[in-house]
Amino acid sequence: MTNPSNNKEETFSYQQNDSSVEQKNFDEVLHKLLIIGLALSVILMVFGLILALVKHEPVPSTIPSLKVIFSQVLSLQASGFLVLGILTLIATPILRVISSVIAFLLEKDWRFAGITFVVLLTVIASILTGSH
Amino acid sequence: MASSLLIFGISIAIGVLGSMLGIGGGVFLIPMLSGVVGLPIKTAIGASIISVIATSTAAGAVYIGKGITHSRLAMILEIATTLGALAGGITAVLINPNILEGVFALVLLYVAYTMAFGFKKKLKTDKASFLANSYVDPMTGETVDYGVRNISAGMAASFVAGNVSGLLGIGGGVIKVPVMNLIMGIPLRAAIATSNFMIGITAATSAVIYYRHGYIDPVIVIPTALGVLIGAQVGSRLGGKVHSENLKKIFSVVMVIFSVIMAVKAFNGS
Repeated sequence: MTNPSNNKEETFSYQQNDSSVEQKNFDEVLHKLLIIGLALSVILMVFGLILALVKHEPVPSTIPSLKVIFSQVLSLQASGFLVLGILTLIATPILRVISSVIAFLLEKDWRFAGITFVVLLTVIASILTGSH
Repeated sequence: MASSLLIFGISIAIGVLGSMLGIGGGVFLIPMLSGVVGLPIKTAIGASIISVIATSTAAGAVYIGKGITHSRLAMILEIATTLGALAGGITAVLINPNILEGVFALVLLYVAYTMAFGFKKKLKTDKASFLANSYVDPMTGETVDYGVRNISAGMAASFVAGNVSGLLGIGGGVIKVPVMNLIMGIPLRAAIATSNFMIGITAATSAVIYYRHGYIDPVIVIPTALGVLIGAQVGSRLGGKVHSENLKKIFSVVMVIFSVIMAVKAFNGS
């Protein structure tokens, strides 16, 4: 599994220092984002479950519109929190891609800003696709 | 309540196994929920796609934290995989699902065999040296350096994986891990971590479509997601303690099981 860098057949050089430090910093941003997304969705879902148990409210079978969800959250209805937790989970990878685009633009890494932007466009296209 | 706890328990186990192997667990969750628990296939798919995102996020946090994920390679391949996921929905309408499932079953069998018994062919090498990377093996503590080859094949495979994800409601990791490991020359642990990272956005692309069509049933999704999230915390750490060779074997077994499930589905016409 280890490829020694003096292997004559594959003379690739792995870039150390600058780009690998950048990579590690970037990975740290991704790391924090995933943890935040995870924590947020778990807290919302668990809180929703507690509310449902305590207030004897049922867990919904479908996901209502965003308007309804927010009004449910504001009136402390379990359903709102449960559904918001699920939506937060779905949103996390998407937010990850958006943050990547921004982070690469800030780093002036145009190549990867472009790459992640294409991914973002595809996700947006899928969100806009009504028919299936 | 009892069935929710059952689903929760099963989801934990699936979360452990899936995160260890770099897959989302959908390959088990869907047959389990629709076949064993008896839920409608749409509900099973909806729960599965969310569980893939859950595994990707939870295990992803661990793998990235340990520096095993090749995030840059993942982002490049994600172009193909998200396009595939988008196309997956469109393809689903055009092609008879049974044919797709049958073909998929055959492909999985071939890949399972290759993973278990190795590749005979000598592969072309179109190197992308700017993607060379390294990680510290959690079991041995050694630093493993590696390069990435055959990006075009990787892109093509990622597209197919995304397609399959959009069609079947799985993450696509069953294709991504073997392709990255066998064709792109990436060590198994890095392939697992990188695949795990990618399946999140792949599944999210499909999830928004499924959500729009009412596939998401919180009654099923909540215990599934929470179970998988817990399982993924365990599996992503546990996997590091298992020897790569054993991970490969487990992976091959999973693929064989899944291909059998797919083949049965294809013949039944469900």
